[in-house]
Amino acid sequence: MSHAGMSPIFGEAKEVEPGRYQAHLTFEMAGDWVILLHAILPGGQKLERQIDVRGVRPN
Amino acid sequence: MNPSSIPALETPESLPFDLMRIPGLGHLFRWRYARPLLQAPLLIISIVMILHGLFGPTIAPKNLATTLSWLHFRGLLVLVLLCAGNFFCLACPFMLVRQAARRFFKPRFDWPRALRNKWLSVVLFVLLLFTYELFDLWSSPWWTAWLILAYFVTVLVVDGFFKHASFCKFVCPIGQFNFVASTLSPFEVKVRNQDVCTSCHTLDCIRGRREPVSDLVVIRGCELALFQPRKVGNMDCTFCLDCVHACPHDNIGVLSRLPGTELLTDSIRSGIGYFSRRKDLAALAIVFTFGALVNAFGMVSPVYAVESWLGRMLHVSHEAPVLGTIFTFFLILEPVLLLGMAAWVTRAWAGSQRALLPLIVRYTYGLVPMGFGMWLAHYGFHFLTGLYTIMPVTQSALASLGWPLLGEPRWALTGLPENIVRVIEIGFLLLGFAGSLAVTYGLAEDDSPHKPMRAFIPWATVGLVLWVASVWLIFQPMEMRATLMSG
Repeated sequence: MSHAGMSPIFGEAKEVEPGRYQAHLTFEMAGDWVILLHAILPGGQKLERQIDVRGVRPN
Repeated sequence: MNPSSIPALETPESLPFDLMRIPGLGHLFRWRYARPLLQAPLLIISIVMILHGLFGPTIAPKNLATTLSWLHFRGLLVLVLLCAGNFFCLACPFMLVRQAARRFFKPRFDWPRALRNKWLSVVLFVLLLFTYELFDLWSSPWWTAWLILAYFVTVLVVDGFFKHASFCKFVCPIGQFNFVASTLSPFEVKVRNQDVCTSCHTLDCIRGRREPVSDLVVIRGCELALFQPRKVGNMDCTFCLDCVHACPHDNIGVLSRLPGTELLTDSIRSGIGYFSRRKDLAALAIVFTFGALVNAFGMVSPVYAVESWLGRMLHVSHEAPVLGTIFTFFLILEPVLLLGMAAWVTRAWAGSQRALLPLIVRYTYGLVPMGFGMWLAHYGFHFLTGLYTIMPVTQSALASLGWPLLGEPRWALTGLPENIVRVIEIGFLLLGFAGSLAVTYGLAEDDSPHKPMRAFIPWATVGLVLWVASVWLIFQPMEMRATLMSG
C-alpha cells in the first residue's frame, strides 16, 4: 500500500559471497513499502520480484 | 437628487474582465461543440485509467489510474478552481457519456421533490471520504478503476431516469466539492448587462432556444435551474456554457469578480434560494471544511496511534468502526461543538437576534476559505511533489504494451522538492485563513453593525483553531504512502 507520486529510493545489490547479494536501503518514511527487485540471470533472462515490507515505523 | 443615489457610471476600466473577450477562447466557448471537444480527451484518459487500473500493475505508483486520479486530477482540480473557476465540470467526461446515452434513452421522471437539496450529496461526499480511507483507494489501482466505473454507471442510471442535470445538482460528490470551492474562484458565468435581460421575453437561457413553429428545444437552457438574470455566484454552476449558447443576445460572459464575495451575499439566488436558509448547504460547507482536515489526518502518523487506541477502547479489530468513530467525531461532534460555542458567544456577546442554528448556518460559509486552503495545501503537495511521475508511469504503460515509444521508464522523475512545496502549502493555508477572516468579518458587519468585532471574534477563533490544526497536520510525518524501487 503505497501512494503514487512519492519519491522512490534506488539501491544496487552487491555480491558479498557467491550467490548472495546485499543492498543497503533507508526507508525515509513510515508506512508500507514495496521493494521491487530486478535481476538479470546468467542466461540474460530478466527476473522481477515484489517484496512487501509492511508497517515500517518512524524512528 | 441625492448624489449618492445616482448610480456610478461604469467606465471600461471598472467593467469586469470577460474571458469570452479573449480572442480564440471566446470563439471556442461560443462554439456549440466546445464542451464535447473538452470532454473527449478526458473521456479517453478515463478509459485508459480504467483499463490500466484493472489490468495494469497492482502497485499504485506504477499505475495510471492511481497516479492520475490521486495526484494529477485532484491537484489540477483545486488549482484551476483557485485560479479560474469550475472548468472541470465543464470538461466532465461523465456528462459526455450521459449525453450520448440520452440520444437513445430520454429520461421521463423529475427528480423527487424530497431529494431536491444537498443532503444526499452530503452523505455521498462523506461516504467517498470514508471509502477512500477504509479501502486505501490511493494505494489500489483496482479499486480506483472500479470507482471511476461506478461513477459512469451511476451517472447513466440517475440521468437515464431523471430529467435535467439531476446527477450534477443533487448527487455528484465531486460536483458538490467543485460548487463549494468555486465560490472562491475569480471567474463566474454571469450576464453582462442586466438591462438586456430586462427587455428579454424569450428567456432562452433557462428555457432553451426553441424552434418557432414546433417549439422544440434546439439549444438547451440551464439544466441546473439557474436563471441567469437572478443567478448569484458559482454555486450549482457547472460552467457548461449552455446559457451562453442559448442566449440570443450574446449577453452572458465568464466575468471576473472578487473571490469569495458570494459567500457574503445573502440575496435570493436562482435555483438555490437564500444561503442563510439552506441548512443542507451549510452542512455541505461543514463537510467541505472539516473534511479537508480529516482527509489529511488519514495520511499522517498520529492517525495510527489514534486508531490503535480507539480499537482497544472499542474492543474491535476491524478498521470500519474505528474510522466511523473518527469521522463522527471530526465531521459531526467537533463542528457542533466549535460552531455551537461560537454561535452561543455571538448571541450572548454581540447581542445577535438570530437563534443558534440560523447563526451557525450563516457563519459556516465564512469557514469555506479555510477549508479550501487545506484542500489546496494537501492536494497541492501531492501534485507538486509527484508532478513528473506521469512521465515514467506513461513510459512504463507503453512499454508493457510492447510500444516503448517514450523510452525506458525514468522512475527517478518525481516532482518539486518537499521543502519548496512546504512553503507553498503554508501560503495556501495563510490565504485560506485570511479569506475566512475577511468573509467572517463581512458577515459580522452585516449581522451586528454596531458590534461587528464581538460577532467576528468567536468565528475568527474557530478559523484560527482550524488553521492551527491544519499547520500541525502538514508538519506531521506522513505514513502509509511510499514506494521503493530498485534500479
